[in-house]
Amino acid sequence: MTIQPSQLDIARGESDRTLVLTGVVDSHTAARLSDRLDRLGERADVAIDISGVEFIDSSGLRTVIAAHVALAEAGHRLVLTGSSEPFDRLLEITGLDDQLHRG
Amino acid sequence: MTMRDASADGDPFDRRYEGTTAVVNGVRLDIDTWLITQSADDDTRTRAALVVSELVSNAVQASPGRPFDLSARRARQRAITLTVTNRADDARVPPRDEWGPDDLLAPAGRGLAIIDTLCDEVAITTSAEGEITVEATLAAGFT
Repeated sequence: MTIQPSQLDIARGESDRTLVLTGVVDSHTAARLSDRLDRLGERADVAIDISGVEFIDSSGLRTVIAAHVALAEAGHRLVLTGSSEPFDRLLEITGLDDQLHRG
Repeated sequence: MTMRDASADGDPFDRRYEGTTAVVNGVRLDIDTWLITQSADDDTRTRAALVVSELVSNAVQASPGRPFDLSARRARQRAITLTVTNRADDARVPPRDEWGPDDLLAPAGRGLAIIDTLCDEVAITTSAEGEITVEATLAAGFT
């Protein structure tokens, strides 16, 4: 049997500081998202369109929270745009639904 | 790559996987396929996918490169039990008060807390041989 690893597409959105996620954010793909967020840095707000997130677990959430905290410490915001049922469910389970900025 | 397959009849489910994050997606799909054979409802399948993803990610993080075993069983009348066993050099069992992050916005440390939230029972045991077994039982609906 051939195992198909998790797939995550990270595209640029309307601005160069907007990332559009499509697919799965888990322990296999979260490092790529972390790399993209690191490259954007903390010099201004960052937006992540989560509409296409089909699954996310704590590994993916860890990456988002790390970016949220780093941007907040620099006086900027990480803004989640769009809606993803898996993402919203995980935020609710972890008690973070009121902690992250939504756009 | 799946290394052993002993679930041809769909019930029970027992498999060994390589200890790499590349298998996590396949593990979720395997458990979902098994749950479909059990006529589990959509909510059960959704919760089980998150639980098994956390179980497997923890196992791979604790012992990268080493295979782990996953089993799934119907438990009682309306529950399923997911069990992951891996082998680690440091087979430490975190006490329950360490299952979640110290701070709500701490980046890490949510895996076990998520499992605990979604499951009715979570048991972590170790063996003298260095095996860590996490057994998670969650309420299940069946159509």
